[in-house]
Amino acid sequence: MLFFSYFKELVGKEVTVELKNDLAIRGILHSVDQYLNIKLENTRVVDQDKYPHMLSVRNCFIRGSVVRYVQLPPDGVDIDILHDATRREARGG
Amino acid sequence: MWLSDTDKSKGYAVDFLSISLHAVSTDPEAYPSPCIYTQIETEADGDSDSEDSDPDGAENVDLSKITEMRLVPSDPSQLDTLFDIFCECAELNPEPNADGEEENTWFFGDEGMNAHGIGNDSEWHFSDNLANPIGQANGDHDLAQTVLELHINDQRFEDAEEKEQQERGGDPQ
Repeated sequence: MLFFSYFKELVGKEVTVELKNDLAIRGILHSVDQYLNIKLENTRVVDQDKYPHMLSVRNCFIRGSVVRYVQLPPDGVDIDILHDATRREARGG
Repeated sequence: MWLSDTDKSKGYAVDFLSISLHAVSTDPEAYPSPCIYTQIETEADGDSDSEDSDPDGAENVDLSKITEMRLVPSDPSQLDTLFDIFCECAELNPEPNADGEEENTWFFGDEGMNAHGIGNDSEWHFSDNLANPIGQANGDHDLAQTVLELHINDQRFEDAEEKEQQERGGDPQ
């Protein structure tokens, strides 16, 4: 639940989602659910030369299970809050 | 998972679990007609030289090998509805090992969580209907008939299929 809670805080910010098939998509995080399925808006593929297929796509839904990384905006990372949250989670577990 | 065809003997079956990504594509340069673009995750996809025993679990998938599928509806105005239905279906088909204890609730930053009370289940009504997700998705009959002849080809959704066939007057496979 920690990641879910954290990603909720990032809604509206620009993130880059890297998939397990190496495709990386940048976009505004529109919403996220408990499975970490991600909806992006204003998407663009990071490496369009290598991957031209999705040039026409402006919003997309990404299945949580295929996400490898989510690259975060620097200002979207509040280390203090994350510290607290991880400690809480560790205690609760 | 479902088939679309006027010729009932042909079609595709794609499990929602294997749809890794879907999106609305409207650029005529990418494809002549507006369509739903999907990427299909296929594990047994050809290359026999792949090393399953890679200790790092590193997956290097050749991008050209990604399976893509485009759904081109005859009525482009249905695209957004179809996209939403794909989203619902993806949510209703979580990974088999995922614990489904909690109701699924999307978070929308622009809706104001205080006003709506994030955490109660009112936002996504279809979550009430987990037992029959496809029946729900196919409940939009306009869409089912004008865009696709939806057929569920998965035993898990036998009920949904029966229901759908009843509604349509029951055409056997």
